Amino acid sequence: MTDQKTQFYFEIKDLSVGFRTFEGIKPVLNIEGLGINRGETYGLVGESGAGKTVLALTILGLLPKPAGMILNGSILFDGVDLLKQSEKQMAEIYRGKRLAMIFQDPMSTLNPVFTVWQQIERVITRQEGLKGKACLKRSLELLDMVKLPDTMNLIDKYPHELSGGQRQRIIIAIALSCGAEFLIADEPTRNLDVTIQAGILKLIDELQRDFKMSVLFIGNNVSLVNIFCRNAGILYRGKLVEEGLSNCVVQNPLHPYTQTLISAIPRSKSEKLKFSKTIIKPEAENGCPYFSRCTIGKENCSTHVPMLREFRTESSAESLNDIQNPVQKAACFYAGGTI
Amino acid sequence: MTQNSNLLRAIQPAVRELKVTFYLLNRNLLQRISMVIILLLILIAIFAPVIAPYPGHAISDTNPKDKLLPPSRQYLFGTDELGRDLFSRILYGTRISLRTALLAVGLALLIGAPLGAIAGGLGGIADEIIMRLTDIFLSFPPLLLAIAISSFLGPSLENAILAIAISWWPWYTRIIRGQAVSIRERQFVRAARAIGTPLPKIIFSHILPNTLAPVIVQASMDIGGVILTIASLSFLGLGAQPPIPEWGLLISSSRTYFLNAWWYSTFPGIAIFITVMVFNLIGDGIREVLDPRTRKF
Amino acid sequence: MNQPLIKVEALKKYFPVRSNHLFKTQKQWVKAVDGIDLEIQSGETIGLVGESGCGKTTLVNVLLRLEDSTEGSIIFDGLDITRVSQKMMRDKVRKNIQIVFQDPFWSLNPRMLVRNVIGEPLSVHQKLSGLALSEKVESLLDMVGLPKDSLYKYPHEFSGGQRQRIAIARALALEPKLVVLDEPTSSIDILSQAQILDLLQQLKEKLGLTYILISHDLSVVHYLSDRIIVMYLGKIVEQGPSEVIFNQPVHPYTQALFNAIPSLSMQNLSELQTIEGNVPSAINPPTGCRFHTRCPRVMPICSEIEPKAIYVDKDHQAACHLLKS
Repeated sequence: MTDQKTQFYFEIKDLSVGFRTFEGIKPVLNIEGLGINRGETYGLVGESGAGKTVLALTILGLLPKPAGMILNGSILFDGVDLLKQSEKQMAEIYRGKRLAMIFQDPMSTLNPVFTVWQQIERVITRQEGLKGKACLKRSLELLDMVKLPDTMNLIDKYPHELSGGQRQRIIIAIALSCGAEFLIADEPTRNLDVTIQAGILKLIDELQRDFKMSVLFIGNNVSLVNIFCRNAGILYRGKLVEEGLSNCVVQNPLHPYTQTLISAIPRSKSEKLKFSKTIIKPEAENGCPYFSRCTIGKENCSTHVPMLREFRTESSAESLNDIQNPVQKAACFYAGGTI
Repeated sequence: MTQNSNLLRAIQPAVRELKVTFYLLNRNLLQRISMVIILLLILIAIFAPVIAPYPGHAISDTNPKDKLLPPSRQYLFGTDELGRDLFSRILYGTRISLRTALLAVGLALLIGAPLGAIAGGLGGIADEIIMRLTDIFLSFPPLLLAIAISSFLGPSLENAILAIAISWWPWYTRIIRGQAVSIRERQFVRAARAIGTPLPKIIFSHILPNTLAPVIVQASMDIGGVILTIASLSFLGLGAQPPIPEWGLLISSSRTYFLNAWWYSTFPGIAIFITVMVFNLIGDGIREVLDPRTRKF
Repeated sequence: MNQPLIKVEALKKYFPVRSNHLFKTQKQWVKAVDGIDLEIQSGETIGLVGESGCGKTTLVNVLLRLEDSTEGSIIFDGLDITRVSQKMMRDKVRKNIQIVFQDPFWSLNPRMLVRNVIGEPLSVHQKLSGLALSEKVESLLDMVGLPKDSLYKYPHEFSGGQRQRIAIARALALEPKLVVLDEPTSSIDILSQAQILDLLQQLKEKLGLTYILISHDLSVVHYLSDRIIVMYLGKIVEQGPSEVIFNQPVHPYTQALFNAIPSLSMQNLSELQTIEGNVPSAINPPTGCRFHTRCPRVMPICSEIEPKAIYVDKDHQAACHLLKS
């Protein structure tokens, strides 16, 4: 492997996470490497159960404790291994301060018995030590930042009096109130209408540029990740199977799983859908996680786990001029060939 | 052949369920101990005649020459005023306590659960009538109500069971009704309505089975409470009648000898204490087992 | 062909809400569906789109008589289903109109075996039981592409996509004429979605079904529908053939809605369009055109006079003042 990218602002190395169940320890995440530069957006795409949310919780040190276990690896953030931090350090230095997170369900993130003002006030007082007028001023600033209209009025309302879009904006305001450097957005628009989704995405995008934040965007919609993120990674059963510039990944998917994923998006009536007929082969315990559904897999796929390797494809060569790191990676022995 | 394998497949989920249940209950030391003690109690209840050194003493035999002896190798827990072996009587008492508690809780469930499902499933006037009825029952202190009913029916163990069931069912009705109201809005109930499934079938085969989880938790925790109530009723002379070796009754008859025969009241007391305690502890465990959130692996 | 399968006329559904002031209780109405006319031909797939709160779900509930309508009529098979008795409904209508719900995790009773879930309509309407029921359910399982040994499993043993197949099998058990698909793929993964869409398309051709498809995922609507109906605040703002609506929408709301959806062909965020503001309350909908509070091309007349639906083309209608000229 080349050592051109020596330092990422945020980097995951050889992370593996498992869950303890009554049938023994079940691995749920197995990521060889994932790096995000400062001010960059990285989109992680995967089906439900692929381990996206587990990854977010692991980064924040919020894995459900007796069940979730970190088996191996490190998560480096600004040179510090987050997995080695104590719970106290995570709470005081990182979580909610340098690392922020937006969840998919705005209704359950806000406390229904407090007004918007009471919820924001508590965060600002705790984190910035502001009280009274100064605190109110800062709250209004934050609501302005997320482009909410009529803030003086809005601030005294209860969460149920607001629309889904407004609630999500307030959560963004609270999450970013202390100048987070790294934002994890876990399907932030999942329960919102498309018309509101566009607004929220544009807001996050703008704030990301303003604050030079790095964003880890978790989603299940390839098109959305494509337009929102510079880089994209495809997660399948806890393993990163492909990553690269999102445009390259979408236009020229290398891994058979990514190819299926993209051709499964319905376009119009005239275009027939392509999809894999679910499981076609027995599960390979020591091999590629995609083996059982793969149409091109051969013998060795069932006995060896493919590592991420680099490809230089046409579309990546094309964009070589303006982007420094045009490498597309895929974890497949036969990637690049057509099905 | 196919019938057989179909049957096997049908019970497979149940087997897995049992495994998960056992795993979850087994994780916590206190719950593990409780589970063992409950199993032990059940075994004692079943095999009381075999284990008891003086099975005859349990009911009618008397042995006046050995009356009020302290614990010894011969009489493990001592003897009572008629010279009966307390150890044997307490072992038999396990049988009575467990059986009466199960019967009382079961009867209360049998009355309370369908009423709750009807109230929550139908809504409207039926709901109003049933819930006001439970309010009336719940506005009496539970023990007083049981005392009133069993003194009205006449003192006997069967009547005490009935009295407890009558004063206990509204709790189950309430819990089930609350669940049923939220289940009614679930999509599978809407789907059943769209199919045209008749209302009684919707209530009893769609709503009721899905409301039982929290009620079973409550019921298992209530077993302790019911054992205590039966003991109280017997203590007051309203439950079991002599010579039945019911724990509460044992304590009641020990009152006279309290000062010079400490063992007479202490051992039945400990029996009640342990039984009530383990059922309360296991109730917490069962709640965890039934909560779908703890089952997500 | 001329006789529509279902004909909806001036359909309204209002829900009462009470706003309690200290001394007086005021009764107000949420106008969830507010005057809808609709004809569906046999064998068509109708796509119903709109933001949440536009009345799609209420419309479906009224069509299935899960709720009673306030005004208007729905003629199906010569019967007005808003007026017939519950018994008539059960004997004559229910078996012909079925529904597949959005969330396959809650649309199947978790404590019933698959045999009884799919067999429920059969045991209710055809009084099937025992071996006859099992055989019929097996053939239904086969039709939706599930293995026969699913019979004695519980719903939670299946994945989202498989559960949706079970729900489809249940809906088709009585060979209905009309199937309502309420967000059939919104809570399952993209790969399962592709399979379900393919299955729905095949079943439609094989059994001659008519679909009403509700979805906020317009790519799904585009894939399945022949005709699209766009709703906003309880009213239809535009309807027409699927290709026309997708390629040349005329109503500003339809245009905005379609431009807010990310598609694979978009390169970056600026191509997404947003609609300013929120959907207004259905208790006091805006006067005139209901979309005028958010419309990018609003004119003075829009807040005063409600636009009537005009034919833009043979089967393409829209309700907007811009179309007058």
